[in-house]
Amino acid sequence: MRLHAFVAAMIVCFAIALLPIGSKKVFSQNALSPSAEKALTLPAGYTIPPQDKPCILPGNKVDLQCLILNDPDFARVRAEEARLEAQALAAAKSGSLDPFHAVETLGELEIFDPNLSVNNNIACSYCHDPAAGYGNGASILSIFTGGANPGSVPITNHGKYPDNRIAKRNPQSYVYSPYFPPLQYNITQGDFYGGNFWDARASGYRLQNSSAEQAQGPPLDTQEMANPDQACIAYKLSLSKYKFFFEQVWGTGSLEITWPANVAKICHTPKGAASLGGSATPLTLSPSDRTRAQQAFDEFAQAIAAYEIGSSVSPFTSKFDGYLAGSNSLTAQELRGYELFRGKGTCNTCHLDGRSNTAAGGTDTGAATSVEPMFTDFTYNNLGLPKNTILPWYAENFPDQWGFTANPLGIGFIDEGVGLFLDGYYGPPLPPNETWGEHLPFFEGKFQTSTARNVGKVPYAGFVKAYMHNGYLLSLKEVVHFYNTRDAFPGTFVNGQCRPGTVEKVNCWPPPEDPNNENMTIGHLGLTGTEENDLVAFLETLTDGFIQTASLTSTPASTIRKPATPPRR
Amino acid sequence: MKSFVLTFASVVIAGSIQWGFADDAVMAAVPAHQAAQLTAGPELESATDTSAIIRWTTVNPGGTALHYGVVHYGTDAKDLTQVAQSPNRRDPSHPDMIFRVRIMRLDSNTTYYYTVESTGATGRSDGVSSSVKTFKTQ
Repeated sequence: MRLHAFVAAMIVCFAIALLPIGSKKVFSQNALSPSAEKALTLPAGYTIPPQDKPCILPGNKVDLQCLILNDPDFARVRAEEARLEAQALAAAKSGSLDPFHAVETLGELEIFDPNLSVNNNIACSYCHDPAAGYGNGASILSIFTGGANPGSVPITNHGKYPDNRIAKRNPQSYVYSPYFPPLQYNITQGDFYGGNFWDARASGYRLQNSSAEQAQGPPLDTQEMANPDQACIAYKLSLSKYKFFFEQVWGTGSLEITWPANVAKICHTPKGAASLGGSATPLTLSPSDRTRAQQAFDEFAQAIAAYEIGSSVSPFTSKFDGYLAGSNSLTAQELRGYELFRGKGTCNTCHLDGRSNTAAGGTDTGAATSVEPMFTDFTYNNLGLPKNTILPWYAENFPDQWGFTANPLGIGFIDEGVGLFLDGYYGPPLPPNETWGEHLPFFEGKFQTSTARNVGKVPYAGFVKAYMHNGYLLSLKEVVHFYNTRDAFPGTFVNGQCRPGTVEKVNCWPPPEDPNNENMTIGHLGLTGTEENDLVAFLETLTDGFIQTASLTSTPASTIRKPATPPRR
Repeated sequence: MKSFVLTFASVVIAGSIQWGFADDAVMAAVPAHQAAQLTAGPELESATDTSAIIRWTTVNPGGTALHYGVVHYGTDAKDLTQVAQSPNRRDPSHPDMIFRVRIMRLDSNTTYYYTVESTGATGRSDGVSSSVKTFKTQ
């Protein structure tokens, strides 16, 4: 049997090496879009806030430090963060939370705590605004940085752009993310399922919880919270106002670690700093303390996952959920959009709605197979999105004052999505399953099929939301139009620009950033403009909060209390 | 082991798109998996001076959700040795499946000959075969 398996594996490897398709790396032939050079066309109805105007630099760039101080969305997000943190802390101190809600509330405390970043200045919620569906909460960033958020570390090199470390992608919403199973390669389907992050790198293999492992990413990401050592999270938790609560949830002594004298200095040094010598564990701890710090970091992440699967983040209270439950109806336009979603638009081929597809005259009179459809099949696809050259990441090709260069390739960086993960871009031990690497040729350029739930959620009318991994699309209408017409205007993008008489995103689409494995299910759907609008109307029914939680038993974690009198047994 | 070697040899000789999943030969014998029939195309959807999209429709071939449309092409009708493939997602409930494949790095103003087929994600052929057709780049 073992010999059998070995021979089979050898055959696979040999065949992959021989055959000219699939394994052939196709390099992008695309000239760069000049979008970073020409004047930006602001979304219809959007005007730059007066506070932001001094922050706008020539060449469609922005002074991130200026935005951090002045932008009204930044101020709104911070105020919301402080309010929710205070609310959660009050609940934690009340002593009346049941065990279920205690874990959730701990996760809430962690998510809204800016002190967990290297410079004590950004919380998870900084990039995952609840009011924006737990995605980027600043319109100005959607337009000028592809939705990418500045991280904890300012860049002080004189005259350099950007003036803050900043992520390479639009932050992915984590709504319903705990419902994604641990990443698995299904050999029968020949496909990856599950995992978290745009590129699947939070595989969930160790904690068997993808969203918990996702929560461990940003705290240690050089471009985000930038802690130099995972033990720094345990250290900062031990200093937090809710240390007592962490130990209440996870046990007395959970954070009792003997810290070295330089712990504060090390934990205030950004990851990637040359002074750390490339070590992932610059804090010197005893083996048992190192183990305890790892355990605390895992528990930190599991509490966040508990918050994310709870009724605050993943409540199933959209208008569509009400429709499935028979408690409300959809408008005629929304119903038309729904039929397109599961029909001509082919959306539910991947964004599964629990029912079958009715394309080309098919019918489905059956009930939904799930009353909690996830609107994703947990797979990965390359939609052929153009490179979004406005991302400041492409300019981070110089050493910052800490001697760290985030993106040595500069504008030459190609975001291969899952390909980066499988190819070891994030360093050992990724990918954790070494056999996954053989699938690299078939997953380059692919990104997670995010849930369609809450794609329409915005903090206020007129908010500009960035969509997709690189934030290239700035409205649901643009998203639907891209799916509909990506391939409908061949030859309109020539020599790095749209031909005269055509308009980018209207009747001209630049070619894919990574042409490998481009999904061809979409791209020429033949939808009319009215049908596109109908689809947008349907997508907006997936926004949670339509069914008010006050009328149900599900209320935010931090407002749940134990009953004053325990129920009789 | 002998059967594996023979199976592998056969897929190489056939020059098809399998990448060594010898079990596919066994699975292909399962009666539930019938050869899918073309119901429309293949035909040229669009072409530029360097690329083209070929489109066709088959009866839903069943099998994996992830499928690949495959185009064998060349400038000589008797030498279709170049291959392009594109992922397409199959909806299990739909009677048909549309395949679209983008071919890149073509020469301008050139006539190409092609045939199409499709496979599941593990390399099993859907059994579709087409006659040799042509398209011309701009």
